[in-house]
Amino acid sequence: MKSIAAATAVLLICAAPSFAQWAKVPDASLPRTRDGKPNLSAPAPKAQDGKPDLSGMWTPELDPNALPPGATTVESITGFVPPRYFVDITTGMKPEDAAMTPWAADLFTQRQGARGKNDPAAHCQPPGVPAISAAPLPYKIIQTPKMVLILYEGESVFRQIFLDARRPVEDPQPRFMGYSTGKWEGETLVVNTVGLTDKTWLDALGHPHSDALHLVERFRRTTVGNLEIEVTIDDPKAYVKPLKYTLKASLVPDEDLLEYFCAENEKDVQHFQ
Amino acid sequence: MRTKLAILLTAIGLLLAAVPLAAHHSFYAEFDAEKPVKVTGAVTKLEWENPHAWFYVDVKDESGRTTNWGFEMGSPNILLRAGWARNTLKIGDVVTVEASRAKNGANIANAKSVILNRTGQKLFTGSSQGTTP
Repeated sequence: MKSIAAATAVLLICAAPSFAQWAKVPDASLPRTRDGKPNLSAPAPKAQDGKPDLSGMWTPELDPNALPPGATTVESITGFVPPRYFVDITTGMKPEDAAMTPWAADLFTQRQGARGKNDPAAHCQPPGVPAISAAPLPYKIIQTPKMVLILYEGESVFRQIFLDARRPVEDPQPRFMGYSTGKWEGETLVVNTVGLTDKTWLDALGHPHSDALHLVERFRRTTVGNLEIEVTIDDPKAYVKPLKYTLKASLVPDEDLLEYFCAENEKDVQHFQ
Repeated sequence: MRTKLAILLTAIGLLLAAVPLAAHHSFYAEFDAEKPVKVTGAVTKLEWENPHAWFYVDVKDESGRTTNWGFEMGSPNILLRAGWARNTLKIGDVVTVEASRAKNGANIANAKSVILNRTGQKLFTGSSQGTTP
C-alpha cells in the first residue's frame, strides 16, 4: 500500500506541467514531415467551402533591421527584438510615400515630444487595428464560412470580420477594432474596416490616424506556415497618399494563446516623467 | 584620404549611437538608458504578471546597509516563450543585474541583463531598452 501511494505521489509530481498552461497538443490537421514536425512549406490548406483557410495561431515577423549583428536564430538573440512595423509603419518607405498632412505631422511631433507617455497602449488600452497585428504577441484566426474571428493575445481582445457584406449603422460608435467586412477575391481575403476610434496610434512612434481612416487589409496564406497581410492606410486627413506595407506572420504550430491583461499589474504610469 | 574618411565615418557612427532613438513608447518616459545600474544581490520577490514581470533584489552597500531594488522585464508571455518558467528565479537566488535606472531617481530600473550567479547563466529579459516599449 505504502509503495503504491509513493509511486502515485511521484507520478503526480512528474505530471504537473511547469508553466501550468495546457500541455502541447499536436494539431492533427497540420501536414507533417517524416520526422513528425509540421510541414510549414506545404501548400496552404483549404476550408470546407473551398476557400483558403487562414485558421491558425500566428506570430508577427521580427524586424530584420533590429536583429543583433550575426543573429540568425531566436536563441542567439539575448535582447528583445520587435516585430517589423511595430515601432514604425513607415520603415522602408520613401519619404514622399509616407508624407503626413500638417495636422498629422503636428500631432506626431507632440507625441514624440512627450516621450510616448500618452500612448494609449502605455495606459492599458488595446492597440487597435492594424497596430495589433504588429504587436509582439500572437493572434489566433478562426475561420468560418460566415465570419472570420481573430483572437488577439494583446489585451485579450476579439475581432469579427463579417463575410456577409453588412454595413455598420449610420454614425457608428468609434471602436478600437472598428467594423470589418471581408470578401474573397481568389485566394485573398480583402477586409475593409471603418469606424476606428482615433485614440489609437498606428505604431509605437505615434503615427496618427483620424476617425475617417478606411483600412484595407488583404490576407493571403501563401503556405501552411506563412501569412501575409497587405495593409493600406487610406486616411487623407492624415496622409497625403495612402500608406502601404505588408505584415508577415509565421504559424505557431501546436501551441495556444496565453492571457494578457495589462491592468493586472501595471506599475509604470505612476513613474512617467 | 582613406584615413580621413574612416575617421569621419567612425565619428558619424558614434554620434548615431549616442543619440537615443526618438521617443519610442513609454520607456523614455520612465527610464534613462544613459543611467546604467549594476548590482548583485538576493531575490526577495517576484511578480510574474502582465504587462511586465518584475523582480526585487536586496543589495548591500559597503557599509552593510541594504537597499531593495525593483527591476522590470518584458511580459511573462514573452519570457515564457523565450525559455523562462515562473520559477526560473527563486526567492534567495543571487543575481547580477545590469539595468537602466528610473528617471525619477527611485530604486527601480529596466533590466538589460540578469545573470543567475549560481549557474552563471545569462537570462533573456525581454526588455526593449528604449528601442520599443
